[in-house]
Amino acid sequence: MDKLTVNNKIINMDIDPDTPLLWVLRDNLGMTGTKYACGKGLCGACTVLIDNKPIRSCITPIKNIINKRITTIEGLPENLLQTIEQVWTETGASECGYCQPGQVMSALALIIEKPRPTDVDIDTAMSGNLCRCGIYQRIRKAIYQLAAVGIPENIHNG
Amino acid sequence: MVKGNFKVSRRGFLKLGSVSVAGMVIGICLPSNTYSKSRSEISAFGFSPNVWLVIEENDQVSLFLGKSEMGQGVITALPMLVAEELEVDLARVRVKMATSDSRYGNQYTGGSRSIRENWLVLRKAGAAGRLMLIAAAAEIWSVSPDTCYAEHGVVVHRQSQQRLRYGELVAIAIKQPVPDTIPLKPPEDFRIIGKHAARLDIPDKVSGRAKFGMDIILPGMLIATIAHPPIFGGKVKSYDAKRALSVKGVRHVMTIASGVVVVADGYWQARQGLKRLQIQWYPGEYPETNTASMFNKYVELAENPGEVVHEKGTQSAVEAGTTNEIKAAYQLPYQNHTTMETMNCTAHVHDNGCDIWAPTQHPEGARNAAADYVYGKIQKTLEKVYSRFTGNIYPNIVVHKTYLGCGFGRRLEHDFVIEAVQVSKKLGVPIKLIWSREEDMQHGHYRPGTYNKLHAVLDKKGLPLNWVHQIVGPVRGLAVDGAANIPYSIPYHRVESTVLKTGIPIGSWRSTGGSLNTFVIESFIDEIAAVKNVDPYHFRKKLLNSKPRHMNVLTAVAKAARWGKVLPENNFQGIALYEARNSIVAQVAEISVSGKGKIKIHKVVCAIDCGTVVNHEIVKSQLEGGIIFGLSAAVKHEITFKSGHVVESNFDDFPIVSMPEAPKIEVVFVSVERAPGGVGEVAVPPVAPAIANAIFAATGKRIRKLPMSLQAIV
Repeated sequence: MDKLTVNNKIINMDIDPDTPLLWVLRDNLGMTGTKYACGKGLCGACTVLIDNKPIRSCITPIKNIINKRITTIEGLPENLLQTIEQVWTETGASECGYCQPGQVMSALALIIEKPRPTDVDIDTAMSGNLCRCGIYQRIRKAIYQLAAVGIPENIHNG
Repeated sequence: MVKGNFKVSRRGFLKLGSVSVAGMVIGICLPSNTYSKSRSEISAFGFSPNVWLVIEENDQVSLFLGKSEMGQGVITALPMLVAEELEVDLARVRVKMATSDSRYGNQYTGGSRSIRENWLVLRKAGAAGRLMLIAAAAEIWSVSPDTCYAEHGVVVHRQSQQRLRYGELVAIAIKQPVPDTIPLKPPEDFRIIGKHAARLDIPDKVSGRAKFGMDIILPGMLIATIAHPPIFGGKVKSYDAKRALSVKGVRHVMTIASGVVVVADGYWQARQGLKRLQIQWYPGEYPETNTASMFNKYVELAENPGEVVHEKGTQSAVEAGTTNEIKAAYQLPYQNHTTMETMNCTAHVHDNGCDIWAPTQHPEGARNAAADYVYGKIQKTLEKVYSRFTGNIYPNIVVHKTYLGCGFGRRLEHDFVIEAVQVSKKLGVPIKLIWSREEDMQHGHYRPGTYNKLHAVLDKKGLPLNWVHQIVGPVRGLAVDGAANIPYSIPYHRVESTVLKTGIPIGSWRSTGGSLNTFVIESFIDEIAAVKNVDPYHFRKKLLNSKPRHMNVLTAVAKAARWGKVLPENNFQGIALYEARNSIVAQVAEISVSGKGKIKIHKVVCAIDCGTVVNHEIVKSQLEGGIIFGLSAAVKHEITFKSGHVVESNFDDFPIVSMPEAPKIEVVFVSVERAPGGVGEVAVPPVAPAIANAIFAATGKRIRKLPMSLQAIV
């Protein structure tokens, strides 16, 4: 098969090309930060970045993303991750936390595109990331705070 | 719960070996939820404590705790209780997830109980530790313990200012007797309880490092997925295993008690296999179940009186000219929990027993349920006898708790656990069983749907004399729960129940019956207020003369929401009040109606008296989340049935509130100095009636059926 590039690492595996990226990450690569919750692109828990755009990995067969740059929560540089951890902790923007890696990836894509997002920008970018714990106003606050702190130009490790 | 002292065999001890680190271990016993005795030991487990507090020579304090972390914040709030009395900084205390071992005490995590159960126990554990460490230092310095005090993990001799770290003292501290009386700090001395402390679990969660049940990976593990009979109680008739086995990566296909399982190298392969099976099913006992006919039957049954489940006071007669009658009927739908993480469990049945990794709210229950499948009949009897003798129940079945991707009561059930155990038992390898979202939606343990007939007799002033609430639903307990719980002074109150058997699995859903009956009670009291055109807030106050705490909370929410003040044009408010789990909550919802009758929910203000607040941010977060959870159920989703099966299957036909739809939420604390009340559930029930009452204020239209539509309401 062609090569898959996950977090700047080239993955060489014999995998059915129809397999959604989510399950390649979780079952083949043991990267469990990206979550399964709906399997139909409805909830955003499986969000990863492809060329800095958020995609739902549960409905993205790997054959569609060969030679693209895939970034998962595990692939974020340590300093960025620390900033995110700090901002989310300060705003208390997590309860059960299951949706959070997906929320973070969507938020990063938003801030890359719009470094000073408005409420409407946040609504638009985050409407597909469901949080069953329902702490949206905390997540919104965290996104504002992360945007204010700023993120590095290159959010990819290495 | 295990009571009294017992001797633990070598086998039981080895199971607990992992917690027996070098250091001071304080075990606190709590039979029947009452603190009774405490002891300290290094490693002899000759007693049955609920709480294990370990102080190591490196000053690390560990708390082995049975409660599950499902987002409600126990991993942060419970150590705060210990740290407060032990006089250590919170950063020094870590909660370590206890396994299902009986000697960790009651691990059931539900009913908003974690803080309430542990409020005294953990503080006493901390205080006992502090007193023993002080006694140890006093012994070393040959001074009286009274001349010493503890701060930040150090014992200090007041006069000489000599200091010894806790870690330096543990070896001597464990030889000290556990104090008979353990005084606790007065609230004015608290420096951790009620003060800001950030949640400790967030860094691991946002970075994807936190391990949920779904994330367990074991050597040699295979992944399984399951199809349950579409009609409840159905059975497998036939399937074509070959078609599934032809999928690359699919290893096994098997029938277990609850359905058909495909086992593969990965979830995707298992799913592909399952799709190809062409399973035929025998229907269950109720193949005709459909929502419309079920509720029609409810209405029909409500024509006759139900069984009286609550009756209080003296009934007044209806007298022409002096009294007035009011009747209304409310309909509430079935609801699913829809936890973000679907049901899953990893099990490994091996020669010595079974290890289970499960996102469960009830580890001991899961362990006991697993025993039926781990052991044969004879062996299970032997294990039971052994358990009774040692007081350690099924010590060789160990449930390891993971993080829970939401709970809401769904994970009090063990269906997903015993399925994984059955598959692992058959194959002899570790199995991670994952339910698809569709299986999770269609094989839940649902909040019951009910039909409610209300009848009140009012006096000349419009105040209620009699209040009769008749409930028809698929069960009694969870359908009537909370119906008797009216804060208002009403001279006669009766609740009746009629049960229609449906075969639909029913379970506890965040706030249990509160979410059903609070909608009914708080809507109907609003209807009664409207009879004489009395402001619904002032009307409630008239009926709360004997309830000062409720009055305070109601007043606080009205003030914070600027009730009765000038609102933006087209904005209207509705109010609701609720008490449960030793907390009182009132909410005001503010909505607007567009020209086309479209409703927008702008804001929910929530006031709470939950006694002493251990961690304000966590409580606020729980209330915000509870409001959104209640809002989703009020305006977005329901579970319906057609031809015996559940219609909804995923977030497209069971939508939940998303970020753009979430109203602003404000929380006001009505601070009262008493033991903490529960906060995980209480914000859920008042949302729906507060919104429905606001819609009535705006449009004159009374919402009596949930979920309500926010479109074209006029």
